[in-house]
Amino acid sequence: MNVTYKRSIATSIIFGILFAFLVIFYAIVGPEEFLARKFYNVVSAAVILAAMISFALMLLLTNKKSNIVDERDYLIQKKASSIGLMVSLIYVFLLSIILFITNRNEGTMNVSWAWFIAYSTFAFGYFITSLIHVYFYNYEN
Amino acid sequence: MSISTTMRTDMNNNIKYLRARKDMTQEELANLTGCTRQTINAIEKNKYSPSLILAFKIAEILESDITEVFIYKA
Repeated sequence: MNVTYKRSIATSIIFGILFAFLVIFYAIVGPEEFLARKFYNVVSAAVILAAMISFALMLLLTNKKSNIVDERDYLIQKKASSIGLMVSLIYVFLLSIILFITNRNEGTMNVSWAWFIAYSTFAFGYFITSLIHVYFYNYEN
Repeated sequence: MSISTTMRTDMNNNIKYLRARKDMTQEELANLTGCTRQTINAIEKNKYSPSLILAFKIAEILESDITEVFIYKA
């Protein structure tokens, strides 16, 4: 198991948990409450910070001089990134369209949805790209 | 766009045979070529086509001609 594979597994776990948290937390709290109470902002910020620290620690702990990253790793990374980008764009498109359709009659939308789209896209992008990466490694061997 | 890294080209190779002849493991060949064992394994199984540089390195380490290591199926 080489370092890029290990990192992809760890990244998919960290950002998978973060994405699941964001979706569940936002679904439970709701856009109005999220905007109204500062506490919810602090809780979500703390979880996002914890995910970022975990990610940075993971990168530091797996950063060894003996790590070998070869041409096949770069090819897999490149393919996973391009597919991950496409999937992330589809996610943003679908989420935006769903929000448009559901809020069309009211003519307005809660601004906290912008926060949700921003952070969930960030977490989803990392999660899906690393998951595709893991898939390619398993599929190839 | 292909969604696979698999490049099942019209290529065969004799790496496994040549490696066995030199009593060399995949790990050893990988270390000598500067790539991972997984890459050597993928090349041996024709799942990945190496770059020219890597192909020449493999041939050099296995003390063979590149056309002996990689066979193009026309």
